[in-house]
Amino acid sequence: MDFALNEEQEMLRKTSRAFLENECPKSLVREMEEDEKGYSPELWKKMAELGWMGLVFPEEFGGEGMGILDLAVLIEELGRALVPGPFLTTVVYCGLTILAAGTEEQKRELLPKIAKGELILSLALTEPSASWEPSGIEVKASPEGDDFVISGTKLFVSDAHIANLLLCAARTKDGENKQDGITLFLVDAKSPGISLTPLKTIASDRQFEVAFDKVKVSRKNVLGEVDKGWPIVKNVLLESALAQCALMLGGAQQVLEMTVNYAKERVQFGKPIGSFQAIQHKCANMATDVDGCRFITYQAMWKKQEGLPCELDISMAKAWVSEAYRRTCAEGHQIHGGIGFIKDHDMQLYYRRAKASELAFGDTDYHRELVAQQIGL
Amino acid sequence: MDFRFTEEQEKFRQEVKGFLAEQLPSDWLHGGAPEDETDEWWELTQKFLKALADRGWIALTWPKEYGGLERPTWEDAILGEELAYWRAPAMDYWFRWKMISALLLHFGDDEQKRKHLPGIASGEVYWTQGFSEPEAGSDLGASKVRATDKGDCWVVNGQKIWTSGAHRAHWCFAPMMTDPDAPKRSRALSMLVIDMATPGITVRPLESLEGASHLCEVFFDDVRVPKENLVGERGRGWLAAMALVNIERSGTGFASLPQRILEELITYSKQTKHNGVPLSEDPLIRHKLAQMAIEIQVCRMLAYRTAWVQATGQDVTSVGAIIKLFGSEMMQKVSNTGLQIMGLHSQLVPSSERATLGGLITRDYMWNLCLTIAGGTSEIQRIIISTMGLGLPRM
Repeated sequence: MDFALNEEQEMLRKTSRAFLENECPKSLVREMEEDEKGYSPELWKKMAELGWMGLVFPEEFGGEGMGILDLAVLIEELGRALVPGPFLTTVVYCGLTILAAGTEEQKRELLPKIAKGELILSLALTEPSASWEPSGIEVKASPEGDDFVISGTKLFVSDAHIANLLLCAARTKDGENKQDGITLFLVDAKSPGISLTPLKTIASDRQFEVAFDKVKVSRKNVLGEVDKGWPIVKNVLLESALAQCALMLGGAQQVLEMTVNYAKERVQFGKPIGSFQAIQHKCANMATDVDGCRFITYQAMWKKQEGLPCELDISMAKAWVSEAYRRTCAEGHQIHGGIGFIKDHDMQLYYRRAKASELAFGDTDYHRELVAQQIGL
Repeated sequence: MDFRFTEEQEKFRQEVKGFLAEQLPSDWLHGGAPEDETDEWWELTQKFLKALADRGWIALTWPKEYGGLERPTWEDAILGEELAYWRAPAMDYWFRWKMISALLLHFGDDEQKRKHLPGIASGEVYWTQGFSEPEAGSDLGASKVRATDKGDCWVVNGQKIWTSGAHRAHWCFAPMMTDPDAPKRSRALSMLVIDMATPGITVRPLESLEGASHLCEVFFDDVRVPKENLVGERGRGWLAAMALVNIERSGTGFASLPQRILEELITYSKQTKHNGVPLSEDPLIRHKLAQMAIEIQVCRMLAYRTAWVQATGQDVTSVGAIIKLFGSEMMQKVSNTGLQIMGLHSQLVPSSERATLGGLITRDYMWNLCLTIAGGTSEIQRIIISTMGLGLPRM
C-alpha cells in the first residue's frame, strides 16, 4: 500500500494551489456570488489553458490522458479555493459520461471542445420529486420522425444559464420496470421551448428550474442507447458523488487549516485559545474527520481508477464525507466564534457550500441505504 | 497511491487465516468466553501463543541475528488484523511482546537482547507493562516508583497499577524514577526490566467491571534489581515509554474486530424476526448497520495509513493517536449498536443459555468501556493530535 501522492500529483497539487491562490482569491468568489453569470470566463479560459478541463480525457480527444486520481487532486484544490463555475458539471457529470457512453463521433466532436474550455455542459437530471431513483425521471421524450420531443420540468440544474448543451435524462418508455425506458439526450441549451427560472440557493451557486416545452432533439443526439440509459445515469450519480467527496475534502482541509491558524492567533484570557483543551479537542476531532474524508475518498477513487468494483466504496465515502464536512465546518465556526458568522469572513462561504455538497448526488441517508443493500442486508 | 496488498502479503494473510482455523476451536467465537481466565482458557491460550511462536510470528519483523524472520512490518499489521478478526486469545500478550521486543531491539544492549529475546520469540516468557501508577495515569511523567541506585543494584519501592497480565507475567518493563533531582521531569525516569519472581514483589489482581481479573496492582517493597537491567540510557525512560505507546496505539485490529461483529450482526438481523418481519428489513436497523460499516471503512483506512507511516519510517505519534482515538470510540459505538439491535436479550451475560451470539457483543460492551481510557485516554490522544499533529500551543 502507498498512501502518498506520486510526484506528478504532488506537482499538480502545488501548481494548482498556487494558481488558484492568485487567480481565484476569495474576493472573486464573493464577486461571483453576486454576478449574473456566476463564474469568471477569464478564469475558465486560464484553467482550460492549463489543461484542467481535459485532464482525464485521452490525448486523442484533446486531453492530457491522466487518471481519475489525478483529477481528484485537482478537484480537492477547487474545493479548497471554492472555485465558482461549471467545472464539475462540464467535466465530471457530463464530460466523463460522454467519454464512457458516447459514440466515437460524439466524443470526437465534444471532448476536444470541452478540453479547450469552449463548451459548457449542464446535467439536467433531477426533477421536482427530487428523487435519485429511476422512477424520479418523468420528463417525457416522444419519438417524432427522426427526432424526439421532450416535455417536462427539470429542477436543480446547475449552470444551465451558461451551458451550451444540456445532458438530459428523459423517459422514452413508461412500464412497470422504471429502469427500463430512460434515455439520455444531448440537448442544445438554446433550443426553442427551453425556459430557465433561477433558483436562489444557500450556496449562492447557479441552479435552475429548466422547463422543456416540446423541445426537439435529433435522434443522433441520444447518448447511449434509447431506453437503456439507466446504467449510464447510475454511473453519473456515482462518479459525481465521488467528485463531490473530493470537493468537500478540499473544503474541509481548508476549514481545518483556517481554524487551527485562528486558534493559534486569537488570544483570550491572556493566552492563544488553541492552548485551551476545549479548543484542542475540537481541532483534534476536525483533524480526525478530515483524515477520514481523505482516505475513504482516495481509496474509492483508486478503485475507480483501477477499474475495480467500487459502488459500495463510493456510497460509503459520500455518506461519511457529507457528514464529516458539515461537522468540520460547524466545529470551525464554534472555534471562530462571532467573527465567523459574519459575511465578511470566509468561514461562512464553506459552511453554505458544505450543505449543497452534502445534498448533491445523494445525501447520507440515501447512500447509507445503498450501503445497507450492498453489505448483505 | 495504491490501496492494494501485494501478492506476497495476500499469501501471508491466507497463511495466517489457515493457522487460526487450525488452532482455534470451531465454537471459539460464541462459546469460548475467552476473558473468563479459567484454567481451561489459560491452557488453550498458552498453547496458542506457543503455536504462534513456532511459526516464528512473534519475531516476524526482528532481524535474523536475533532469531527473527526479518519480514516487512506490513506483515505484522496483517497478522494483527487477522488475530483481532478471529479474536485470538490473549492478544494483549502478543501486543506486549511487540512492545518489549521493540524496546530491546531499539534501546537494549547486546547482552539484554541475548538474554531476553529468545524467551519472547519462543512464546514462553510472558511480560507485563508497568506504566501507570495510582498518582500517574494520563500524567505518565509523574511516575514516582523509585529505583534507587545502590551501587551494585537498584532498589525499587512503590506501586504500579493497571499492570495487565502481571499475575501471569515472568518479567515486567517499567519506567521508574531513578533521578528525582533531574533538571527536567522527563529526565528523571529510566526504563528497567524486572524479574517478577524477585523477592519483594506482590501482585494483586483487580476485578474489573466485566468480571475478569487480569488488570493488576503491583507492589514493590525493597526489590533488588541488577544494575544491568537498565534498558537504554539512564534518564531516558520517558523517551522509551513514548516510543512504546506509539506501538500500543497503532493497531490494525481496531477495524477488523468490529468488522467481525458487523458480519455477525448482519447474519443475526437476517435470521431474527420481530413482529414477523426480519430485523434486516427494518429501515432503522439497516441504517444503523450501514453506518457501522461506513465507520469501520474509515477506521480501516486510518489503520492502514498508520501501518504505512510505520512501514515508511515516518513519525507515527500523531497518526497513531488518530487511529487510537477513532478506533476505540468506534468500538464502543459498535458494541452499543449491537446491543440495541439485540434488544432485551442483550443484557444476558455470556454464560447464560439464552444469550444472543454467545454473549459476545455484551462482553465487548462491558470491556470496551476501558478502551478509551487504557493506552492513553481519548483526551490525551486529542491533545497529542492537536499539539504534535496540528502544532497548537501546549497548555
